[in-house]
Amino acid sequence: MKIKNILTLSLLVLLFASCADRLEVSDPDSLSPESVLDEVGGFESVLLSAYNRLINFGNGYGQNAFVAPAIMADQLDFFNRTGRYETQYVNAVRAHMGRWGRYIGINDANIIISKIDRLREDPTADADLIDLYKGEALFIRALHYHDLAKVYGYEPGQEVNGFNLTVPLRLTATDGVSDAFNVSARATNTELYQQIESDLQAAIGLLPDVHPSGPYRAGAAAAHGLLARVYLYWGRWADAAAQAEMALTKTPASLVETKAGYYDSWSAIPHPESVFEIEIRSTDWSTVDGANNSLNSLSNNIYSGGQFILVASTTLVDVMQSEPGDFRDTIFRQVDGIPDGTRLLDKWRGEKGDFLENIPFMRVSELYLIAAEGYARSGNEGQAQEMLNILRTARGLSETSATGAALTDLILKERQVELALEGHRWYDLKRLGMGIPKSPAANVPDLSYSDFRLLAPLSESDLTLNEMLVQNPGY
Amino acid sequence: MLLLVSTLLVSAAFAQRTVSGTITDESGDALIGASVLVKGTTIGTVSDIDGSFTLNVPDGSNVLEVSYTGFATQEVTIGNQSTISIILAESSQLLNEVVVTGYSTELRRDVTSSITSVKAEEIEGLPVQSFDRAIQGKVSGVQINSNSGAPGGAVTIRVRGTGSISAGSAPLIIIDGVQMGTTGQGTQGSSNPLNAINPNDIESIEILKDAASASLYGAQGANGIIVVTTKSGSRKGDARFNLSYQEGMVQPMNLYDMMNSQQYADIRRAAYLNAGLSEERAIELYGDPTDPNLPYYDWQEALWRDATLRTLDFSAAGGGEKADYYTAFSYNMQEGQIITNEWERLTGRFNLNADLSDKFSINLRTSIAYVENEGGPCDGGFFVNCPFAPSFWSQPISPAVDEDGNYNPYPLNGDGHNFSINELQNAENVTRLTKTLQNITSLAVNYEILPNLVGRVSAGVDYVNTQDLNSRPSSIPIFSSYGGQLSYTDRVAVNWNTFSTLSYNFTLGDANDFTILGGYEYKQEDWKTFGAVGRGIADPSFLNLGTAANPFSINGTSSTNRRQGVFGSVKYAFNDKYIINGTLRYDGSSRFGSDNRWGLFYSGSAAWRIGAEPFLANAGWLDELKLRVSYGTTGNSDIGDFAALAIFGPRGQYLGASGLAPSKLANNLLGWEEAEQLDLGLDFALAESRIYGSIDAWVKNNRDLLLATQIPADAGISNSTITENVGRVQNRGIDFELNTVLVNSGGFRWTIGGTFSLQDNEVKELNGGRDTIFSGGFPQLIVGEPISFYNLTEFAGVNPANGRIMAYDRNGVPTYSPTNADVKIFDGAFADYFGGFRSEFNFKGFTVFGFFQFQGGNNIYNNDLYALYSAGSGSDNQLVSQADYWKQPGDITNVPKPVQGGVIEGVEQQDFGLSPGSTRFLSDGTYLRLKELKVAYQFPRSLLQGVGLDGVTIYAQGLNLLTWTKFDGIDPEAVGNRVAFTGSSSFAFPVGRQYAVGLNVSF
Repeated sequence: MKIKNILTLSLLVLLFASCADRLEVSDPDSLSPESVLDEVGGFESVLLSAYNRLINFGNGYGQNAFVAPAIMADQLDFFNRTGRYETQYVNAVRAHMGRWGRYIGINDANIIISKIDRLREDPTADADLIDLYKGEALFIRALHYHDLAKVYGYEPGQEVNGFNLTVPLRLTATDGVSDAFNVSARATNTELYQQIESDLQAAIGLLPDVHPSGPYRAGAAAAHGLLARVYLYWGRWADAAAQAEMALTKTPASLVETKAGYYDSWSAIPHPESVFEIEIRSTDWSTVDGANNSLNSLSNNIYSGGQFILVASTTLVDVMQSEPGDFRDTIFRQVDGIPDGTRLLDKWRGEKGDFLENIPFMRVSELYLIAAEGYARSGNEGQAQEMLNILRTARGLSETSATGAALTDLILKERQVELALEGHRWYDLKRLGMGIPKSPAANVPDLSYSDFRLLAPLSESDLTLNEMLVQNPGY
Repeated sequence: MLLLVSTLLVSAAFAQRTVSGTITDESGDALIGASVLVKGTTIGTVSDIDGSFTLNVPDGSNVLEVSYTGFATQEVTIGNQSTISIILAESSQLLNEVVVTGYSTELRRDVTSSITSVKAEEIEGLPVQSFDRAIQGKVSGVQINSNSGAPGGAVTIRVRGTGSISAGSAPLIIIDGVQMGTTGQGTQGSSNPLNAINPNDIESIEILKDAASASLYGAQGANGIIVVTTKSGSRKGDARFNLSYQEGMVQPMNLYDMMNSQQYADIRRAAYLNAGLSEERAIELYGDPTDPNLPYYDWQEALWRDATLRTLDFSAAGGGEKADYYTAFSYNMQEGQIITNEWERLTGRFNLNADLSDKFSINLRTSIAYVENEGGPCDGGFFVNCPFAPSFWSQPISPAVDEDGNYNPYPLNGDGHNFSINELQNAENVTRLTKTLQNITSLAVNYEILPNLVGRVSAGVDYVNTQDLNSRPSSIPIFSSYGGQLSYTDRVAVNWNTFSTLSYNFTLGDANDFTILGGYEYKQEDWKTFGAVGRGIADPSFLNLGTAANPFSINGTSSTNRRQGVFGSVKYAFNDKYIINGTLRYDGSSRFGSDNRWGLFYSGSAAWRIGAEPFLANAGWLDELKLRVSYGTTGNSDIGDFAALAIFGPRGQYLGASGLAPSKLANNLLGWEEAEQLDLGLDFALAESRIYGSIDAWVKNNRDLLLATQIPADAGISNSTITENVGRVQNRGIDFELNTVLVNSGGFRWTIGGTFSLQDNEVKELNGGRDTIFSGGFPQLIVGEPISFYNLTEFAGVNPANGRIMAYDRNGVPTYSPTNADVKIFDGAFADYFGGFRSEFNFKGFTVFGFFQFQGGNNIYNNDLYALYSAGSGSDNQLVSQADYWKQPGDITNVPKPVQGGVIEGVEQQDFGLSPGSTRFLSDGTYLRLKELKVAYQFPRSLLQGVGLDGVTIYAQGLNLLTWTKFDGIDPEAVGNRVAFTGSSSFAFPVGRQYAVGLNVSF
């Protein structure tokens, strides 16, 4: 009996005590950086994540990047007041655009740009894919930095009181804590624009004209188009026109030319005019994101449960109606039951179902407008009229022979209507040093160009973590 | 001679009298085998099975000495009584009380550390779902607050202050040797892992407060330990059955006073006019404030209710010579104060202690609990699809239902909010159901290798399976675009631990008593979840995923952590007067960086029983006086499972292929957060233990504090923090407990008692020579400040000239537009003092018991006001106080000029456009609450014996009956987010007022 007892006890002790060295555990949902980045496919996964981040509602194209530049200027009024965007509508101090979160996408791009070349020594790695992914990453980094430049700094040549700082440049991957704290001061606008230019030029050298996945990923056409846009902001007019022409040559997209075609283009997948279009799927959204956050919910009344808070401002409707025959009249939809000419902007229709749709980042019409403006401001008015008239004809308007200020004003008016609620208005006014006119319904004075509210405040959080950062004037 | 002797006997017989009586405990239960001795003689007897005794008392003797193990010895003066009822007080403070310390047990008088015990009587029969709520205010140094007033809702427990920030601050809870896990709980409502234990099954709760008692638990000890022991049967006597039933109600208390339709229409019109919008539009949307016939709907009335509660308990306990058992079942149901919220639980328990042989014995403890929690619409918070906020802010002019009882769209007419959710419809149509099955089992095998050398192997498991079902039916407009949605999540957490100990107790000479304990422990916690979401549900009433036309998404996660350690302790007692104790533990945890995985923890403690010294032998009034001192270290490994690892994780998809991204940086140097604590204590019992208590003063330093510190956002890591060891925080405090028996004569007994705790918290140093650590642009930790404070602008009132709000800038000058540089710090969410006091009267079977609980010196940021106190700048309904808004120059008010959108001259009137709030919404969280009031009557046994019952008690009780506070929100206790140091209420689920009547029968 006694021996049996001792045996049993020993067995139990052994059973429970033989657990040494069990403290090494791994996270079943995660991988080490090394295992991800030792093959081309791992880099593509990082790239896909970077594309996906563009749909962010708060700092990206899912919502804010299109709504804020419109409502902070003079393109939108409220149909329904829920508190949302009401402070931006009246340009309350600090009610601005926050883009600091874009650095996460920049780091995704930096990982690819700074590490993928290592795989070129690997004979099994496909060199074409390395070029492709690196080119796309350069495009994405340029896109983010340009968006940061537009929000936090003045464009080169348009500085107020000589203030020329933009955002810090991060060009290498953050691998560890020491990289994270390897902070720097804000770059000047020219430094930043030069970096963007060089990224896009490098991207153009690496990318095919059109990406094998179509307009949903960047090809050289999209990179030329973005570079054209960057030159336009930079005031390098001839370069802007040249790049827009290059993009038009390389993109398979073209203008739709009928009234019905124009209306239907906003339900087409992809938009037939898209040079680069961001794809969104329903799994990208939480259950209420559609109703809560989508462009469709905020600006349209198609789905029940949508918020429908935004309509075209009276200013925008007046500008659109200033010339007869405009095909775009069809997307200024009259809303039932509410008179007074209130019209919603019927661009965001949720055609993929449940508030969902893709987001065209750049359409060919913008390329025509960039080319026209680039030519016009570099003294080539004939070509400017030609480019502008291609678009005007496609939109049912008569050809113009305007010159001088009348021509550039007409181009700006054309941008106002053509690119409404696509993320341009505030920036167009700002890059030209024009100040911000307000919709009458906002009941607040226009902002002069020198008003400090033209720049967004920097993140307080980063100001405390990086002593080299200086806040924008006025905050 | 013979005659003489017989004569003497006869005369002796004449000179004595017969006294009879009964001996019971305070609850009226008979005490069997209590000793009754005529004082100064050897004449005595013991009480029989009914607690009765009969004794011949010699002439000249007038005092009986009544004693019983576990009870205070009592002297009873006979006087001219012939029958005496004697009630013995249980000596919970007293010297021979057994204190369970987790790995072993000790006698109270030998304890050298700071341990508070709570006995079954203090928690039995309360209509609460978990024992933590029942001990609130009853243990000094331990602060307990409801996070939520939801039935079965979560509770925050802090043993001796908050010493950790990013690491957990909750104590380790051990139930019958099983270290409880914290994962695996459902998410469809607030929930508490302690719901798995029926409070009525608990025999005792020991709270290990100082390092000397907790350091044996090493890595888990830094936040204190709560050791719960469930009931055992008795090896004497027959099986004893107990049946109890309770029924009652729960009432909301102190809800907000909201505007009626006219007041609301008035402030909305003013807001429209002041924003330059048209008055016609305002009246079109909100109605004409002068119209007495505006529609009015009381959303509070529709969404809150008086709810019912019901409990039924059955237990049986008994045993024989070699084994004893306790078995119990219970049913518990409580509705929430919010419609559709209902919590139901079934529990079962079987406890067995058995001697298998002379040397072998086993202890089995197993319990199972099944909980169904219909979370109602949710558990509070600033959500539009959760009734707490919308019950206040929903527009009074927008009825939830039309004349036919059909749901109206929301808002019926007016600017929208709530994403078109009609909150009544949401509450009634949405399903949020969590079903939890939890099993806690432990089995210990004891083997007495040699006399006093005992080996013990114990293994325990805490298994939790929860199933969450969430239905968002298409009948609700916002969910109709995708045809409604069902989501289902299944979660399993298996948390097991095992330890083996060897203990040896021996005596050298007469006076040297040694106890040596050594052991090994291993603990593993694994959890995983699996979930699926389907859309396109054919009918809103369908609740099975199979009915979904569109299998929308699946998800799954899992995680694990492991810990192991060896430990030992030595205790030496000399002459029962001087006791010293030392412990050591070496612990490793999988959560830490590979370079810093192991930690060593130790403690030493000593006690001097001054009362047992010869020089105090004549102080008859002094029963016990013990001085204790302890010092030791413990660890805190309560951080994320993979906090130290660099991680690339799945992130999003694009074009149907999944993405990967870095989500976190590595910190190989991440190491233990360590707490060192010094405790000086005094235990005392005076006047035949009619006054007893303890006082402890302590200092606790948490070194290498774990904090998730921010990294610059331009580093581009989505998890923008990294967990590091940043510095040292100190908690200091005094814990005081006192109990007295004020009156105990003639069957009348009056006892009062209480606990009082003083606490103070301060960051002492930060690593790297910093004096401040920032988070989000504002100080998070400052050397010399507590870890809880508020960054706020200081409200300077509303300018009577123009109705704009002002704040004092950094120079104390009022300004309309403060900047971040004008943000100041204000006293935080930690209470400076807290405790409770009680009073109990017993007379002839009647008991009146009252218990007050309090805390104070803390501030609460009332975030509710952000929506309800906004001068009508949006479409939310407002507090009635907002009707006093600024109307014209010269008006003196704290409510600014209403403006649609809330912006005047570019400045947001609610918060100046700054992320920190303003002191406008900060209020004093001090409160005193009548927590329990109970009136009970126990029927006399003489009446019951005829019907074969042992005892019958009827009672009525109330919880949270009265509250005194200056807090401007609903409930100063249930303040959500308390854990996050912000102490801000965001439409938390408030605690309700409860009334219940009940019946206990034992036989």
